[in-house]
Amino acid sequence: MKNFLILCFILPSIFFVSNGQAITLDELQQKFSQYPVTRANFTQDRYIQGMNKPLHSTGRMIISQHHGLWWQQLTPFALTLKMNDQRMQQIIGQQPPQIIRADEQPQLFQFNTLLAAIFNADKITLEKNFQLNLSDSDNAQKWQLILIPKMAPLNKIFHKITLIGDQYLLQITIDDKQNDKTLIVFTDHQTLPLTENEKHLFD
Amino acid sequence: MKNIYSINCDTLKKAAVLWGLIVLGLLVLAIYLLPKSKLNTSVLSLLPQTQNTAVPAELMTGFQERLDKQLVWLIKPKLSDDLEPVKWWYDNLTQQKFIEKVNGLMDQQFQQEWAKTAYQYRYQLIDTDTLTKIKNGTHLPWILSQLYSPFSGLTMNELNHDPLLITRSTQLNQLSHSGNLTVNNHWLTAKDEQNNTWYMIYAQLQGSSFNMQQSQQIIKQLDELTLLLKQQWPDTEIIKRGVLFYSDYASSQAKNDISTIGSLSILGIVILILVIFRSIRPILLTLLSISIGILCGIVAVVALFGEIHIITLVMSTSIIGIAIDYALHYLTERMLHGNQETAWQSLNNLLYTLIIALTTSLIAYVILLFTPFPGLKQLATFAIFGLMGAFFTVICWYPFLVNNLPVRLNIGERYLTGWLTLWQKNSMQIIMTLMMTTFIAIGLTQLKIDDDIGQLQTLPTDLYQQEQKIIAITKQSHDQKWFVVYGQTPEQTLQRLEAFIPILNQAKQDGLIGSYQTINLFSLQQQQQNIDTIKQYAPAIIDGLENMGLTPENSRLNLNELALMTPQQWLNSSISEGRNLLWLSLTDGQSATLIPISDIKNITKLSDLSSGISGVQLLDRRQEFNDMFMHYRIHLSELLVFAIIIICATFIYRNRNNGLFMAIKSTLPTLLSIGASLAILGITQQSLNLFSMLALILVIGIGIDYSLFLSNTKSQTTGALLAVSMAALTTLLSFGLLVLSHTNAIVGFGLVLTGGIFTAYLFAPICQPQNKQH
Repeated sequence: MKNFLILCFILPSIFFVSNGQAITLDELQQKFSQYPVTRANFTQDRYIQGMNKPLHSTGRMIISQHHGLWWQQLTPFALTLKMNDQRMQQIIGQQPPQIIRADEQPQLFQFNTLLAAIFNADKITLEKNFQLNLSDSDNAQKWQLILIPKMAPLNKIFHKITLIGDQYLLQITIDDKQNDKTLIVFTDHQTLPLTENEKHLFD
Repeated sequence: MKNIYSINCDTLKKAAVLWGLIVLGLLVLAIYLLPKSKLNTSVLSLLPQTQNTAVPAELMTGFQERLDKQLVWLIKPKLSDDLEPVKWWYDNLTQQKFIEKVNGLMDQQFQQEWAKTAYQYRYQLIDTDTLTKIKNGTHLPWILSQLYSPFSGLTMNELNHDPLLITRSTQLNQLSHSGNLTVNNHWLTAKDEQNNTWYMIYAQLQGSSFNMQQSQQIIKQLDELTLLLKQQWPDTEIIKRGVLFYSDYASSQAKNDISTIGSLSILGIVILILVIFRSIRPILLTLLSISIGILCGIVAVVALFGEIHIITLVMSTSIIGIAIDYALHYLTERMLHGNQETAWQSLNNLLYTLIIALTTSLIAYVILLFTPFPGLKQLATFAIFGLMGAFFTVICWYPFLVNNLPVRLNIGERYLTGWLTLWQKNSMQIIMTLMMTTFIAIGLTQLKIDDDIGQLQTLPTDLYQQEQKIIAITKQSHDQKWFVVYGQTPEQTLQRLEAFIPILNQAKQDGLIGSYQTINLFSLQQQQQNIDTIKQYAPAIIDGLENMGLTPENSRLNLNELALMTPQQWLNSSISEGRNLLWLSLTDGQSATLIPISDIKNITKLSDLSSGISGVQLLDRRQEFNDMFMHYRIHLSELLVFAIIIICATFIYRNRNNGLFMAIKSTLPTLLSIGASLAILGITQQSLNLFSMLALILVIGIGIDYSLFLSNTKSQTTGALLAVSMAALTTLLSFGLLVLSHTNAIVGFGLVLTGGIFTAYLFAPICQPQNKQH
């Protein structure tokens, strides 16, 4: 469950990165909010030590500056997640949604608040919480940002989080403390404004 | 009796010696008892044991004592992750001898223990939500969602040991009920509205009860620590909450009250005696009778109650004003007639009226004795024995001690006679009565009734604000309303709790309450049922995982030979942290658990929830007490009306030979003094409550004396007026000074008495015999 709390705040920031010039953290942040809406398909592979094959899942997601995140896993089972900075809703299959509100359950929202602080605030906060490593690849279009958490609770779970992007965010690699690993690849990006129907997805 | 005093000196000597022995005995008793007795400062102990609840009193007392022992601090360092001042405070508290336990630090070891216990008892103590999901088949998808989530931190190891992820599920569900408190950097923290981090440290005091000196010492030590903290970290904020802080404040206030009121009334009395008697000896004599009176009162209270309440002490200072009357009457008699009669004759002349005066006052206090309030019983006991002590000192010893007391004749004779003559005029009587009636009418229109027990307690602004801030930050309810579930055994209590929870859930769903909190422990029966349920459903879930190819190789369900958790084990384990205060088990097995309720929408409907269910009851102590105050206020006012009717009838009967008009007139002082007492409450914006009623009883008991003395055909009226004037003045002085108290209820008490007694004194001459002057 906690996973999505984090995604919510990483994604909005990362998806709006546009032209990759020789990039600085300031520029990266400046470009975070260029597109109000981004859609993409995702495939996720989770490698857990002791499992003989990775857990493979696919789905679609929409990120909107105004509405938050809508994340729908389609295979191997349906799971929908909607969230903004006030609440998070998770629907597994046909079950009634599970709702967590920031003001009622702050402990469960701790990740959110921390990451919101990091990504909405300035470079200083970011550098305070993560050890950062931003680099351009040979192809000037691509960049890579490595986040190494310095503090609990993030550093208890993650070894590092690597983001790779060009115009859009293309890939997230999450290395767990226990040497487990998750790779999420985004494809088919679209940045058209939300349709009325799509807006209702966030309700 | 007359004969004894006029003839038999020997008997008198024997009486004096006997009284001397008694006083000596009392002194020894006082020296023996006092160091062992406790000064009670808790407001709640002034109130009756809640008899209208079925909850065993021992359990209620147990919870109350525990509550009294809690201290809470919130610390806000300048930088939110600067743990130095928090650690410093924690360490220093731990070192204090008066602290039993300090909480707030959840270190590595604690968290490991916690996790270990949570894992060990995962099936037994599975949370209800998870159990429901297991039953309705929605637990499997949840396990999958955890498995596929890149941020769940789920490892093969966890899956192996707990394939159903029950520990994880229970933990997450419990977190979602944890309120505003979170564990941060191993410390318990909460955030305020400005997003500042506050670290919470709470502690239990060692021992169960504290005398005034001990708690003062503790407060002093804590204040010093706070000062040191502020010196080292000037920008660190620290706020506190705890019953101890309030009770210490209350006792120091009361101490102030006692010393101010006590010393001022003694001072006033000394000045008055000096002015009238122009001699030191009467002062020493009155102080002697007052001291012996106080001695008798204290010994009686301590012997009967084992403790003395601080409010009793404050109110008892007012006894001085009454106790001194006997001495004053006698000394006045000696001063005026010392040359014509012997010390015995003087006593003889006064004895009858003195006994009547004592009796009326005693009757008033005896009525207080029959109220169910421990505080008032103490006050009444103190007064009854105190007044008797003063009385016996006067009649047994004074005749031996007043030899050669200076005689002064005709003191203020002119004024006294003038005053009496003035009152004989019809115009004076009518004008005064009309004026007083107008005053009463105005006052009564403004009179409000308020039965809130909060008046018994003065909340110091500073402490109160800190408390409010702590409540706001931690979002803990301060309603002090809870259900208590109790039973003969721990198991019965837990089973009753389990039966009641569905009702609470329904109430929550219906919006009757915002939330509730219970202990995280089940009855042995429920624990076994949980295990059985999981045994029944686990295979299907494991099959489901297998079908997706997700079964770990070494999966261990371990569903057999599981030990159940007893309440004692629960208390000793780390998983009871933060909730252990909600559970209480006595040595005989009787147990109870509290369910704090917050955001109550409808209190009447709430108490209906538990009606008819044995072993469950809503506790709303404040409301209960307010109701009780109201009940007794009404009860006493009925008693009062009855008493007034009797008194008026007696007056009318006594004066039946002087014509109907005179007879009716003789009831005026009593009626007007009652009216004036109530009016003065209205005019000073004090509200009418139980305490005013109690004061009214005393107004009648004491005020009647003045009419009795002045209408007594046997004594000389101006002499009686002088004695009555002094008696009234001293009484007014000591009751009037209660107005200086810091406690609202005592102020109201003092106001009623002052207004009533002044009026009784003012109108007493209306009863003087028409034909008798000089």
